[in-house]
Amino acid sequence: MMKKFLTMMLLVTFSCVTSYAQRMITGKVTDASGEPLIGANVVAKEDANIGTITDVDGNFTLNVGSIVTALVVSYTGYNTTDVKLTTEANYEVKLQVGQLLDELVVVGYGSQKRSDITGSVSQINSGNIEKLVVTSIDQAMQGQAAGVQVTSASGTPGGSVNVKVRGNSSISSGSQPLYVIDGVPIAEGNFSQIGFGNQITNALANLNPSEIESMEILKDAAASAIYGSRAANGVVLITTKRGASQKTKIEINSYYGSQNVWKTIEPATGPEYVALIQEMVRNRTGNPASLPSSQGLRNLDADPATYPNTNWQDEILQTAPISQTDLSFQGGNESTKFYLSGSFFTQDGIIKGSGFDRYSFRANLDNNVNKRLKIGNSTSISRTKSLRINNDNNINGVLSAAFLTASHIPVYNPDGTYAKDVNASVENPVAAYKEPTNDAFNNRILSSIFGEYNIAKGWNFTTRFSLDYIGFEEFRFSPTTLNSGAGVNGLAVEAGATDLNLINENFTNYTNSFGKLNFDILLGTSFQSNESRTFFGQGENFPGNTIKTLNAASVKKDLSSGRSAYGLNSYFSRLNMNFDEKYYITASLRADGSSRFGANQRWGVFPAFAVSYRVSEESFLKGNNTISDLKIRASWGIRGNQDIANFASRGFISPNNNYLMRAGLAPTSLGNPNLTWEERTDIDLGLILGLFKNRLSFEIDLYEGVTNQLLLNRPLVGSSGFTGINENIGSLKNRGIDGSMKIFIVDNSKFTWKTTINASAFESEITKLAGTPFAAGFASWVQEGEALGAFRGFRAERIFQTQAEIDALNTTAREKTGRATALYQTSLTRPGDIQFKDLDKDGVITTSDQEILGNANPKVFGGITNEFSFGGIDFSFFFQGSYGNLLFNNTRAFAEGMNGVFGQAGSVKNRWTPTNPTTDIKYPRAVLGDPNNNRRTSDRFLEDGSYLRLKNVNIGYKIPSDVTKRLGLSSLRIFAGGQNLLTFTKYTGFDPEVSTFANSNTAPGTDFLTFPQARVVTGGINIQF
Amino acid sequence: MKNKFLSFMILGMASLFLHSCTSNIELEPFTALDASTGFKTRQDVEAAILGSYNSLQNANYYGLRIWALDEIYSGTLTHTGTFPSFAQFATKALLANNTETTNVWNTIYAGINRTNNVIASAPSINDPAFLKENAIAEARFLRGFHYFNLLTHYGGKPEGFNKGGVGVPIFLTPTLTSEDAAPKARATEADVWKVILEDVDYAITNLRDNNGIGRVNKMVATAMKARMHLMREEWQAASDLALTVINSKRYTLLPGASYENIYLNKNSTEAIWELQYDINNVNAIAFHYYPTANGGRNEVTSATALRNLHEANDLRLKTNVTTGVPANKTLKFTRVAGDDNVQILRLSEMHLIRAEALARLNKDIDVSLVELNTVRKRAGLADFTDKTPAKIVEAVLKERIIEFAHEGHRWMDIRRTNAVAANGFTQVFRALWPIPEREVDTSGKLIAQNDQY
Repeated sequence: MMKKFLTMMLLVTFSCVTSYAQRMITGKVTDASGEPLIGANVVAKEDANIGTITDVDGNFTLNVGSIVTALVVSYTGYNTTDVKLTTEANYEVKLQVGQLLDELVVVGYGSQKRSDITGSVSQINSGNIEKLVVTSIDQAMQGQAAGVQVTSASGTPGGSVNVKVRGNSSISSGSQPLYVIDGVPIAEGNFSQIGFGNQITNALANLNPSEIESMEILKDAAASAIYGSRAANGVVLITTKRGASQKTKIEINSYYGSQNVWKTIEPATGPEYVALIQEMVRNRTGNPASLPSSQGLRNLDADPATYPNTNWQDEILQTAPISQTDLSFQGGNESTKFYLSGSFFTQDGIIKGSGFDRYSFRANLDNNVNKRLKIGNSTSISRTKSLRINNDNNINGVLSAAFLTASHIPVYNPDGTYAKDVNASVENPVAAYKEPTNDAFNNRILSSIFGEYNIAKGWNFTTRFSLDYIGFEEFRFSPTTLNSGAGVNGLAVEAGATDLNLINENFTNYTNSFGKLNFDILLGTSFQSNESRTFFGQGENFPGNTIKTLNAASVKKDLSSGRSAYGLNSYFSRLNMNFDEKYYITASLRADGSSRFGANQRWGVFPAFAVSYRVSEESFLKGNNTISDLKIRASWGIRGNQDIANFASRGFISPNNNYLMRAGLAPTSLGNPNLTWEERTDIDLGLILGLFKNRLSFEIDLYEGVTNQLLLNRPLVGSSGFTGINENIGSLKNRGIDGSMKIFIVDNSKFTWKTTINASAFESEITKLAGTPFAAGFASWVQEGEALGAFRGFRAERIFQTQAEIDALNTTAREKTGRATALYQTSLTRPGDIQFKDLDKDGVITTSDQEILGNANPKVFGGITNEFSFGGIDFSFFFQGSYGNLLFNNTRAFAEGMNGVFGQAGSVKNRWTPTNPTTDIKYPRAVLGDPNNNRRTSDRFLEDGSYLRLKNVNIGYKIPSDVTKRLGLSSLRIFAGGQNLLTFTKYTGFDPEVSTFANSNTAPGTDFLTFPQARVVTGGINIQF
Repeated sequence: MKNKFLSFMILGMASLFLHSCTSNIELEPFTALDASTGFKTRQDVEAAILGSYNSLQNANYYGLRIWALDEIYSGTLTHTGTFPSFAQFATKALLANNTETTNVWNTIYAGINRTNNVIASAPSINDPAFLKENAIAEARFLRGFHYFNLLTHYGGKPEGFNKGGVGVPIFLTPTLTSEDAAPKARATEADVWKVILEDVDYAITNLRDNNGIGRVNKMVATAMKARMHLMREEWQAASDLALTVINSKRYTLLPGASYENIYLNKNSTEAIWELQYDINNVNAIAFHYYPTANGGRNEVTSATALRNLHEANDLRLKTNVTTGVPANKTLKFTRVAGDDNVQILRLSEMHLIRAEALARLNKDIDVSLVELNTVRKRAGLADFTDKTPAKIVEAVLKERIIEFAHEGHRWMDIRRTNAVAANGFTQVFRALWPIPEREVDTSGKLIAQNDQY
């Protein structure tokens, strides 16, 4: 598409200076099966200014004049074909799928032919995206690009997605790539101020994936260092669809799907639960006659069999609809082109009470003012509505409560009120989804205008003014029927945040050739200014539960607002040079000045250098029947990460440390005037190999990225009054391999079968930290010499079967420590408890008996896509997976905790009892209060998180064009598909694709009562007029 | 057209460029003061004093944890909630990385740094409206009180205090740079007491008689020092200072029937120092007590043992252990919205300090009994008549459990009377909370862990 657009631009720009001899020819461009290709480029071989684009039927008409001897016909994804002109006036052109070398790839501040690229860039086209059932653009990258690890934190509709390009290059700063849409760097992340548990909102979910023409992921320093201090995590360039010189194409695309949970976890029944509690109490007191009431536990003394049973998961899970309808208009003439679209997406969550809607509109316009000046704009306006639910680590969470509420509690009391467990503090799960109001709205305007002026041949100047505005509004009401509203007679919160980015970029590029030496120079500046504001108001004490707005709150509290800003000034340049399209050199340099850094360290310089060699262009390989493409490339570069708090370098004396309703001030942080960006230095070696006319092609990259000057909160002794200070101290190394392979297994006019495989592996190692290792999340641990994402804890060695075993260890403990009261574990350790491993062999279990248990990073991850077409039928399926990663299943620490009043999983029936002397360390005895701390962080809850998932299946049928013509349509396709239809995993939790700590760098791979991914079945229709 | 467009662009770029260079990347924070601007004016320092009180209100401090965890540890509160870190107190199995003991430590030291900023900044303020000596005295009192709280939790000996035990690191100047934040080894218990007593003596000398409700004054400092002497087993001094407070006639006990009103109404006549909360500045105490149905999280409940300790007809029972809705909680904390005040010093403590100190000294036993019976009478109980000093001490200690239920005194009484083993601890080293593991690690073990953790 981009190529089409650029070609159009060129055509129009130079159309006035071409010759005047008239010779009209016509033709039709189709694919191998005879289906018309719409928007294919048809350009005269001798003069790129003579050209056109095929219409909706694949037809073109062109005035070729007298000198033209051949046409070059090209279309994204197909081999470019030369057509020799004869005396004929009409030409039928069939394009074969395949050759990608001449495709244009978008790079920072420009585009390049794929064969000219010296860096590592993955491309995802609209064709790959359109089939997916995804809410947001970041999800669309999952499994599609080598080296890009995409993990949805949860199945929360519109929720956050974690994207890691080539490992995780930061510990405490942002780790998400920079997203650049149509040249404009945009904001991403969460703008909510209300806590719901761990899951957060995702500002990228405002952007409609169906507007995307292509996504380029700039992975190595050579490709991305032109974005300087924001490039360390990679850069995702997104190009949206634009108009074309053609009869207006009207397209309606609509799908509807049904989602459900693909797995449930069997809970203990009410009677099983009560029996368990009674056993826990007896085990605690050691008295077989003890009843739960003796321990202050109420309503649990009766015969277990007399209790009812509620399956809370059944109460809160649902089959839920998802649908999207897009309407677009694409057209224009030689001077003005437009792409207009509107879209509505709506999704209910598979957990009741959750949902996500999006309205989005886009207008992309291009106009040629004259033969030298082009102007245009790209504007997207969108509004999303999230129905949020409490989640994860939150006793008011819907799924959380469904797990943590005991199953002997009915949903309702006889009087119709919600039944709540008097022994626990957990919300009634049904009340948790039904009663609260938690709405969030995100309004986003993304708009830019640009002008491109052709100063002289090959010399262009571009200027662009852009705005990215986010207006986030959120509202919460907790009525008195909820625990959180009961004590305060109703509680409401209204909060809002705005984030405004104004960006001006100006750059000029000059392209020329001297003989076989081709070069392209870029020089530019960029200024970005950001301002964000927030407000937050909370009120309590409402006149009932009907009026939910703050005006009705009789007690207004926690009224607050905030304001922040940052500025970024940049200067950049790049030189691309090649000799004979064989030897390539790219050098780029960017200087960034950021307000975020310390007064002493405001400016940074980010260079990159790359070389590549197209061996296949050498005479000894040219025309080789086997090797059709062979290129090696190498690059080095430095990129920065400045994704930290706006004033992180400052020490603060903060207000709102009040007393007696008078304003108080207190020092809250220490400043560091030397604070600066994180600096990632990368080396990349790449090999591209195409065989058999590129029917089989490989791209393999080896890389090593070292991030230095990691911004860390260096821990300080708390006795200093502060617990840490921001400093540039750490280092982190990522080393890996990315590979992708494309095979056209069958490619003939009747049947095509294409397979794309990508796989990646990396190792991360923290090479330097700010002093002592530190804990993160529940079981995660950050330590020098270990991977980022490591887990640490105790080792559960075995289950004590007899008291004699415990006594023996206690005796040893006394001998080893020389203390008469020393114990191996605790004084209340009994048979059935877990024996933890004495790693330091000092005879007693202390906190130093913990070690690294593994890490959350996969050994390999990737995806396999198979695409088939047969006549009008197209079929594709896409597997995505991860191998060798561990998950810490903290849900089990509760649901199999057997220590207190929380609801338990059915698996606790495997627990140790004198009559079931199991040796399975997952199931020790049940004992109230867990005095042996069997639940401590240990490998008991660590599981293999590997999975292989049939992420997407799509089958479509294009109604033959003679039928559609009669219906007055130019194209009609019906399709059906599914998302997450099959999942193969040993993981025992709800879903292996999970991260309760949303986008955490330090605590990935932890599951805690997290919203699972849905299985989705869809059907839809695509109509073009 | 060409020229117009170009000049437009050049102008646009030039103006943006100039604007950007001067201001785009030179920004000042909007929502806080830059620390380098410091506490330079009277208004700043006065706000810093209020900020110093604010640290006491933290949920890790008097806003719940420091005393509630003590009550759980003592068995006067039962842990009925779900925090594993609270459970470690209930099972008397604190680990060195316990979140609560770590947060309490960090919170108190952050409070110390706030007071150090006041103490360092106040001398150079020359505004005639500034009550310099009183300001410094307020900050020094709070600093001494912080160190007292640190010492009584993390220091001393398992057998009690003032017996040559261990102390905590001492910071007496503000931490302004990362260099200032370098770790310091633990001082001895005696060194920490020296800091505490010097600060409190300075406060007694320099504080005004009245600084308004919720703030410390000369009498608060005197009463606190009486408590400190009790902890140090300096009975005569404890008795004398308690008498000073009693004789000031500034405070009077409420009638027993109104015992609950000490808490339900704020700032009663017997409050010596009451930490003030309001609807804009709240705690989560009642929230942690109250059951979910009443909008709380049911983390703690009055212990059955506490209820059983009350003699028949004790007027305080219904306040200490509720029978209505919600049951087994306390009337001392009833505002789930969070604006309950917290009692730090009450007149009845002075009576009981004097009663105990005199009995320990074995002199003026009659006066000792009068002091004890003042508190008992108010509670609607018969006089205690046994004149055996040991029996009086025993009676006072029991009286203190009931009189100060939910006020965090019991654990201190257990510690200072070397009664840890007698209160269900098989491992007496657990009398001292562990030094936070992160503190030990961050200091490179310069800060030593307490014995046996």
